[in-house]
Amino acid sequence: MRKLITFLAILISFNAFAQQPNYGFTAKDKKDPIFIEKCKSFRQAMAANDLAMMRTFVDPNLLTTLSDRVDEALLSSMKDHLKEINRKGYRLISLKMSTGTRDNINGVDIEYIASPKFTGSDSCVFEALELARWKIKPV
Amino acid sequence: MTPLTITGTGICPVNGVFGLKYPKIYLKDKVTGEDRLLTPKNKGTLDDAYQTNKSCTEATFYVPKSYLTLMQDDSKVVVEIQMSDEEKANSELQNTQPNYLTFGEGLQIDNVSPVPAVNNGELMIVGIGFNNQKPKNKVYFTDRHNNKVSADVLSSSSQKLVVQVPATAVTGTLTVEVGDKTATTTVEISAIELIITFGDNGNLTDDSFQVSIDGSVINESIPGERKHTIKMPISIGEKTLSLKGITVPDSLATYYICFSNNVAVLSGTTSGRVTFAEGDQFQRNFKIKVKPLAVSNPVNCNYIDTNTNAVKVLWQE
Repeated sequence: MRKLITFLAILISFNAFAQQPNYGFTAKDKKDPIFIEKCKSFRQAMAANDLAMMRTFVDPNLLTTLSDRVDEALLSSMKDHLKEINRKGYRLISLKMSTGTRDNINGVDIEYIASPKFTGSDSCVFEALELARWKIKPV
Repeated sequence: MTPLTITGTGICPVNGVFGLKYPKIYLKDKVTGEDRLLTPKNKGTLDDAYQTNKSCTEATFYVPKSYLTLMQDDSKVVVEIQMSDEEKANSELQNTQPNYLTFGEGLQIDNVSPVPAVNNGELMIVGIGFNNQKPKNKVYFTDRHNNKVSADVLSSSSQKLVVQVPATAVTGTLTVEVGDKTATTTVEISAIELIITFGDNGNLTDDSFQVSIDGSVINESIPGERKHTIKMPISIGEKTLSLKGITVPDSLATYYICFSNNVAVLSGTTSGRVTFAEGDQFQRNFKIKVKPLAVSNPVNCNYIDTNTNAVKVLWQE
């Protein structure tokens, strides 16, 4: 019974993140784990070549006014990400909240290694919208 | 975190549909084989910073401590700035100064530029261990008696000094002192010189000219001489140069004049066909400004064919 409760708790938590929109999600503060989850979701979309999913992270106004340029920029980010994760011996080492102090910017820092002696850093950057809402910067 | 400043052109982040996109920075140690790819996004931490000056000629970012600990004393790190897959600037391939990052402690001079430097001109000294406060850096050149000559420090940072080369400095030892530390290198100094090429560029080779600077006669050509070149020491600043006709048999002068790269022509027409009354003397005056740069042969001289090196005949008599 105890295991079941734990499982349900995780499931509920996961659903809570998933129900939030990718563009304009809310966070209670800059340490809210939703930043990590949205970062992971965006990277998964890039890894899966899922342009449609990546577009859900973009300002809807941009999608209507600058659709071609948005797609071009997203595909460029996707290409960069695929290059990163397709390195020989690629392994993600850490994915953690950034310690930046700017109020309107938040981030998730990513460290990875690859062979033979390669280390790299990347990050997800989030920009504040109004009313505690946030968006990812997709580049 | 160790700040690293690179100089170049066009190294600013690019403005895209989602805002600024920063270049990636690839560090490759040729000795240890350790590679590091930095993806700065300037989100407010040092390890993620990429800051440029307004003219996009200087960028500062930070080399992570975790990478520095992998370095050896003899490490040589190639730096590559990747704006995109197609646009990359590589310190080794592009033979930058220096080609590699090296690691050191204390006070060291890596290189100086320009080479040669000129008296009263500026010299940039790149290295480590300089003081951000100008007066705390003492810089000395050598004069012709092998005495130390103090130089004015115009700007300073921990990795770069810009100083004014003293008027009496000659090629020799350059010394930088910061606190109780001293670093030296050899610096090549050239006196400021001026090169002028002038002559007759009409279809008839009959004119000769005399050149004066600030009233002093410098040199003259022989009648019909197409290309007469003078090289002479000069001081920096504004001068009045006169081109006077000596032999102009038909009261019709055809002339051109070109200057070395360290001269800006402020006024005066550098080629012409000029008629004048019999009994008068042809003369053209030029205001020039000699800059504190090493001299070169006249550059961008439109009156000489770059393929044949012959003077172009521009005027009919």
